[in-house]
Amino acid sequence: MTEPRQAPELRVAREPRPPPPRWRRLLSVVHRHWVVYASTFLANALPAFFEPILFLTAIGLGLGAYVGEGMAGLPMGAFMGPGALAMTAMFTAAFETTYGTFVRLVYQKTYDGMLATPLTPSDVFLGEVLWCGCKGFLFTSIVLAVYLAFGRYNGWWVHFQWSTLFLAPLVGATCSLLFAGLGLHVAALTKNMNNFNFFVSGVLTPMSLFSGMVFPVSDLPVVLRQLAYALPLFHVTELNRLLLFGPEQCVSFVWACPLYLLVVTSLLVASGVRVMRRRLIQ
Amino acid sequence: MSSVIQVDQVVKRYGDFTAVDGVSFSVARGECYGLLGPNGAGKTTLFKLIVSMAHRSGGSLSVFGLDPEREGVQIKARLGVVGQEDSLDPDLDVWGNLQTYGRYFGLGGPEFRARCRELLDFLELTEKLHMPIMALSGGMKRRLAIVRALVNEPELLLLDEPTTGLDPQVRHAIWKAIRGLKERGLTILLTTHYMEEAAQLADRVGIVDHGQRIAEGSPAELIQANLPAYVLELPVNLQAEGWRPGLERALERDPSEGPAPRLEVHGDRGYAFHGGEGRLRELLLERALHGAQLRATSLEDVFLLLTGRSLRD
Repeated sequence: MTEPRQAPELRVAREPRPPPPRWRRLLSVVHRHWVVYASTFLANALPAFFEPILFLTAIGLGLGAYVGEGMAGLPMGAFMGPGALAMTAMFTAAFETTYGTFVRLVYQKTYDGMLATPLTPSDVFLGEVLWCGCKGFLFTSIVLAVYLAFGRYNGWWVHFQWSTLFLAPLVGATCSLLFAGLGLHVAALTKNMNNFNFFVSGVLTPMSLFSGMVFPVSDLPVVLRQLAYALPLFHVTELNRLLLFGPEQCVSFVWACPLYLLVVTSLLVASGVRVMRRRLIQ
Repeated sequence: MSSVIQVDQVVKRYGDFTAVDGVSFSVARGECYGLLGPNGAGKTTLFKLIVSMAHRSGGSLSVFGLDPEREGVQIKARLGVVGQEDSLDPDLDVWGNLQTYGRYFGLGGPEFRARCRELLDFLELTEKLHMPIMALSGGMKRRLAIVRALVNEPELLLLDEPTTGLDPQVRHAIWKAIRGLKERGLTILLTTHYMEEAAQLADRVGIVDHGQRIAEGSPAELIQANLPAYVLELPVNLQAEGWRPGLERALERDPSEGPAPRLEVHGDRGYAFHGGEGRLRELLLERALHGAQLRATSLEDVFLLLTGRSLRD
């Protein structure tokens, strides 16, 4: 390196620069994640597109062919749709705020840089959760498109309304917000990235198996059924079922699911941001 | 002169460990203040308190007259920070780092982009515009971190060990850049454990150790107040060779004004401090020792005197 140039005009000692308002700070964090995501868009979005195709081909058509009478009056592939949508939104958010957040926190020190700006810890992590919501919306839309195309082709088209194209991704976004909030707790409390395996195998996988994706929860014995009703993912699946197949296919209390999801999501997000702030600022 | 940073009896505890134990200092507008101390002395903790990245356990602290605990957002909008680890965003390239960082301040648009280009040019990074962070050398990363800290036109620049781990060329280039910024009227708080860095850049220096400030003044004042002006460095184990009594007697003769002459023994080297260069030159000739060196007392001598020679970490 040669001699550095003349220092540029510095406008110090002017009036103090005001910080941007809260909404702009949050948006700047979401924007950061979007820019990073978009730079590797194909690598990120293609799996989201192909996974449901593989899933529906193997399970819906392949395995489903052996389940002659279908499930709950639906072909197997069709029955699993609502759960598959929910699972996508759950995993994308839960992975982002565990592995993704932990790498940025411990290895990349991304947050140290961000916190040296007007961003507060709650801006940073609420922004991260909001980004997960956007991702949930996007991924649910992709899976929904694949699913509907498949259903059209195989005659599963049961109770489709145009509003579903917007409402199902909105449910997916809520699901992602919820699991992003949960994921922040896990990222904040863990010291070692391997511990995320416990979260994935111990929480996420069981949740996706017992939330009405692979079989109707109503088939479970009473006690287990009540437990399954308490799982957030069950409520997401049930709402998707409502949108895709209509109220006849759903539990009687499906109308309470949005309220349940809103309450649990708000609590988990607020506490997740808090726990993360505590880990970062001592 | 109004002070930009006012630190008053600040205490920071982590559990049982006290990282900062009642430190006070202030930084005036336009001044470059150097916080000097061995590893673990509490310098970085003080930084964290200033940028609202740690909660204070006691004392008072204000930046631009605001409290980092309650008005961190307002303070940070007016700060530029270069952390010890560059904490650049490795998921973005050079240009992406600046644009994204600017957005955190609510900045963007053609004027902002022009300023980014100007700053990149200033630190000679224009050609690296679209390089990924991983591909940059340590020196480039640090320069980019400095550029990034300047995009919001800060009133105060915080530099945490800005040249640690860099080669001499880059170090001198960064020093020159910092001096240029100082001439433009930027207020700077610098931490370092390189005495030369402090002597080159800082108007005033505060030496901290074990969480306390143990001395303060301009580099020249600190030397004058603590040690005689000259030192004869002897590559001899004075104790083992039995040189000590003779040297002590020699130093006591014709003392000049200022701090008393003294003899320091550290392992296999001896340091004879005296205010009169002539006295030490006589000693040097008398002993005719290969490898002995007569030089002006440096900030490093003062630092080692005050903080001791035991290893830290």
